[in-house]
Amino acid sequence: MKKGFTKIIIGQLFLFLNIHFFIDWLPDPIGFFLIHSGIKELSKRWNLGSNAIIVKNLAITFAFLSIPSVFISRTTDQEIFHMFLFTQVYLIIMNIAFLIFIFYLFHFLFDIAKRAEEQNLLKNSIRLFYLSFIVWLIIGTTQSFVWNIQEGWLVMTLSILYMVNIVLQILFILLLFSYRKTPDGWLEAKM
Amino acid sequence: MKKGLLWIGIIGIIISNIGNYLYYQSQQLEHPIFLKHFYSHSFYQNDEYSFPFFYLTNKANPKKIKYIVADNVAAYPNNQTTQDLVSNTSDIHPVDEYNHQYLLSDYISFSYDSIPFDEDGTWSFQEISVYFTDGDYITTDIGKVVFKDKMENDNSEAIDFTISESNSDGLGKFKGYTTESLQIEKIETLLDEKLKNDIDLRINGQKVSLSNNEEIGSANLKEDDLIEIQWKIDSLSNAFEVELYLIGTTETGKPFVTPTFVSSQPTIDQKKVNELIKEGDKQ
Repeated sequence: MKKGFTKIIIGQLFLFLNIHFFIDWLPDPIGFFLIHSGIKELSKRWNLGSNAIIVKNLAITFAFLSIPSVFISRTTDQEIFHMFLFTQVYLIIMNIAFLIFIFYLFHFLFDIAKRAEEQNLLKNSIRLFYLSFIVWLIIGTTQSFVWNIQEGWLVMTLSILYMVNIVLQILFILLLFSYRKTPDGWLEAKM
Repeated sequence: MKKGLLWIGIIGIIISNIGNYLYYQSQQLEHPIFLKHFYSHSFYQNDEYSFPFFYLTNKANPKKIKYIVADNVAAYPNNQTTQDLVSNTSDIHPVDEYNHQYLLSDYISFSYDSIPFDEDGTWSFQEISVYFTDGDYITTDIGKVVFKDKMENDNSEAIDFTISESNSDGLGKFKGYTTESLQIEKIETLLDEKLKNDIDLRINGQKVSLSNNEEIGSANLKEDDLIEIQWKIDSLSNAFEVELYLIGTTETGKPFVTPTFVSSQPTIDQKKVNELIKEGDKQ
């Protein structure tokens, strides 16, 4: 379990942290690739179900899809008026891509927790899933309103949502650590 | 869990983005929209004077005036320094800012030499063609601007205007003192028809109407008397700078015409901007 999940955790860190200095120094493509690699590793030992395969494929696809994001930094202020239409459409597509990825990544984790019959782990995972998914969804829909509403309350709401999202991402990484700690034996017995 | 949730999410993001994009596009102006301006000025020989012209332009693509043509006369903006395309939003100092537009103003200057005065000594225009720095141009109703050739000596020192105050709500005040005994008989402007319904004018508290035929009977003043003119302009979405002529006769029988002026800078709110956008779409 350890090696596979270590890769997944590091991959998720690359996705979560974006240190922008002309380019993204913790590039998302590498993050996706590491997650893909981590799941592949785990799949070598165990059959982890259909969700695992889906996430693995999504990860490698998004690894390529997210290459432009290395050069684009996401902003929410008036700058958006001056970005090219292509850039704006791309950011929306990446938004949706992350939503899909969150969905299937969590379901992959549910499968593992179910197999290992870890009720607590499963419950926590499900809870975090709903929170993360809904917050990301709200961010995705609310962002588009910035085009048309410049009032302070919208920007403030978005800022709060971003902060909540950061907290949820941290919780997610901690959750991944719990999965990493799950003794291999628990999965073995069910195979 | 439920794949339906995922689909709702995806469709939600797509719909909100498309919806906002369509609304955003519908709020963009095809060409800048000018407010209405009511200006009048008397030019001395070799005089030059400039007026601000106010217009709404898209934030996404703000335009600057290169020059205007009124009745075959070209006039240019004052600040001819960087007349290139506005590339950086920090070049712009908007009068006001709205959701999708800026309200900008450019001072356009007119010089006595270029004005083709008519026989009666005036020249006016209501429509101008505006040429922008990016090549765009429009012809639009601008309100009414009247220039007068100041030829006569009007004994304008009959009243000495000292203090003026005006604020942004269309209210203003002038205070002056008579230099001799006189009687004010009427008040005139070059824009009477345009102004008379929009302005509330009072001299020393007495309401006065702008009309050539009405006489103000009771304004009989001694030397060093205070004259206070108060005005209130109703239509705040228009720009005003109109010369006001106080016409009368002094005690010694000399006629006088003393000029002063009323002015008001336009203020409009988002609601008015939305109305203007709708009207602009219909054209």
